Amino acid sequence: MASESDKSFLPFEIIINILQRLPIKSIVRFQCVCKDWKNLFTIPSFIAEQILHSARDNPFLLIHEYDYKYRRSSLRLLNQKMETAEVLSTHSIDSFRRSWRINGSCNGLLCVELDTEQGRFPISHLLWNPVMNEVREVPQTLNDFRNFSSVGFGYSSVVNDFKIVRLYHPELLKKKEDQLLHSIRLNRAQMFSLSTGSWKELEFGALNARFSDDAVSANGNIFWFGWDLYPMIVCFHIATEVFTFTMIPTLQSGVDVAEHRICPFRLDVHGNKLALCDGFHSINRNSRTYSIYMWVVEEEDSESGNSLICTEKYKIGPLATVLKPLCIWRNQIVCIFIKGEVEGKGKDKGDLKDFLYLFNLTTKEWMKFHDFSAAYGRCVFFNYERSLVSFCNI
Amino acid sequence: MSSSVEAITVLSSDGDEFKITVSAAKLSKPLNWMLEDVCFSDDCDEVPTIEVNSKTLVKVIEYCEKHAPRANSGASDSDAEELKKWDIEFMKMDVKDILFHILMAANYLHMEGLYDLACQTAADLMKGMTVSQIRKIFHIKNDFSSEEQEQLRRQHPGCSFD
Repeated sequence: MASESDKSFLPFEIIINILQRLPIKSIVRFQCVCKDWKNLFTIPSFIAEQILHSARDNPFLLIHEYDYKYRRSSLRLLNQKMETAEVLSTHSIDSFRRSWRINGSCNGLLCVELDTEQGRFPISHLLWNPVMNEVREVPQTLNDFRNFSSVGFGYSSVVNDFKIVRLYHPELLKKKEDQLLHSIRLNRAQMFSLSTGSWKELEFGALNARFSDDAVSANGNIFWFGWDLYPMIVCFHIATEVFTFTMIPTLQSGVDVAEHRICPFRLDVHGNKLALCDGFHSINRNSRTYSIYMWVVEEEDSESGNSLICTEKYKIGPLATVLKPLCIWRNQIVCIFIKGEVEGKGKDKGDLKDFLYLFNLTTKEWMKFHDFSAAYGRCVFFNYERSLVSFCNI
Repeated sequence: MSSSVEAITVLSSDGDEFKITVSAAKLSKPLNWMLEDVCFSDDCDEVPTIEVNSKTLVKVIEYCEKHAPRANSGASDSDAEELKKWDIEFMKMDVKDILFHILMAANYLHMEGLYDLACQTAADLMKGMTVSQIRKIFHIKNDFSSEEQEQLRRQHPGCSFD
């Protein structure tokens, strides 16, 4: 152990292990240390390890707040203590001068959709890594891009590629803001691959179903909650580019899907498993109560092959107020307190704040963590981890 | 030969003798092999040497003795909490003086828990340092040309080479 020599006595292998654990801002700064370090930070295996540490030790809840009326938008990262860790600068996506929304978040990349602006533009997409300050414009697709679509975004380590998948209907054009996606049936699919840089049509079968707005990605798959005669989970395997459709005839709980007509579900990930979350009113005589349910989706081997089974994992309630679940974050459910559905109590109509709450599934405690005051606003949530993913390396 | 050995004696690279209990030695595969050699050979006179200096070995053994009961029997959540706090106190040390030696020792002795802990501690200490502080600690020379520095500055406004 010659610590007096002019070389560091630590083997590079140990140095790599230390560097993987650094917060991303330090890694970005330490690019300037020397060429070996700068090159190390572009190696896919280093980037992948860094993402694992980032997701475990430094996960963020990304909140996209937007205000339709004033067309204002902000992206905020909350840390595990629910404090604002950073307000992301949206300069690089605002420079396209179109309103935008986020379709998905995966390995530090955000998939951003630029709006049609009342049909004047085709919808287009951007991929964005806020840490690296890199934006990649996704080329226009084969067909007219003004259709209604439900977009999923994910990554597969098998092929080291990010893919955007659009489920759409070729004739239905998106013109009005007030049309709801989940009332419309989609029957086609197309996919963009970051490594090839191009779009292609995918085999989508004879399906003609309704879909949730949000897709979620996990373990190299993209999932949608769909609804044909029965509710179903649509799974797109990113590496092989194959869809599988699995019906969910009943949920394993007191709640009957058909009776409650729940659509769309919020599809999410809980402990590496796919999970569904929703809230229900139940009316007994004169009283009306409200509960939140969470189901975990698991594969079940049966004689007819693999099938999915939804098992009730948590029931929260009955609650005195209506708290709609929006997102699962780590071991917590993010809920919004809906003003309009609170009974009486002389609510001040000028008070337009919405309150966000967090329910901890382990401690069963509620925590109020954020309020936003957009008159015609909406909040969307994503799980986010900072990463070094760069478009040069895919 | 004796199976009732409770502690073994080892030598540090500086030639000092250290005692380590059998249960604590089980945290490291190489130490465990040495232990088996000592227990099952008739010739117990030879004291095995560990290529770790005395100052570092004291700390490594302290870690092993603390973690051994939990590693060997499992522990409750409150014990795990207590151990976490102990780890934080244990790791309050200077980077160059001893932490790097602990890292080397944990790597050499295949002690996953200590290695993870030491890597994380080093990362926590380094994260706030300037680029020149990092270079000093790792004895690294700035090998960027002025053109390359300029290019990096354009890519990441505000990045510093000092």
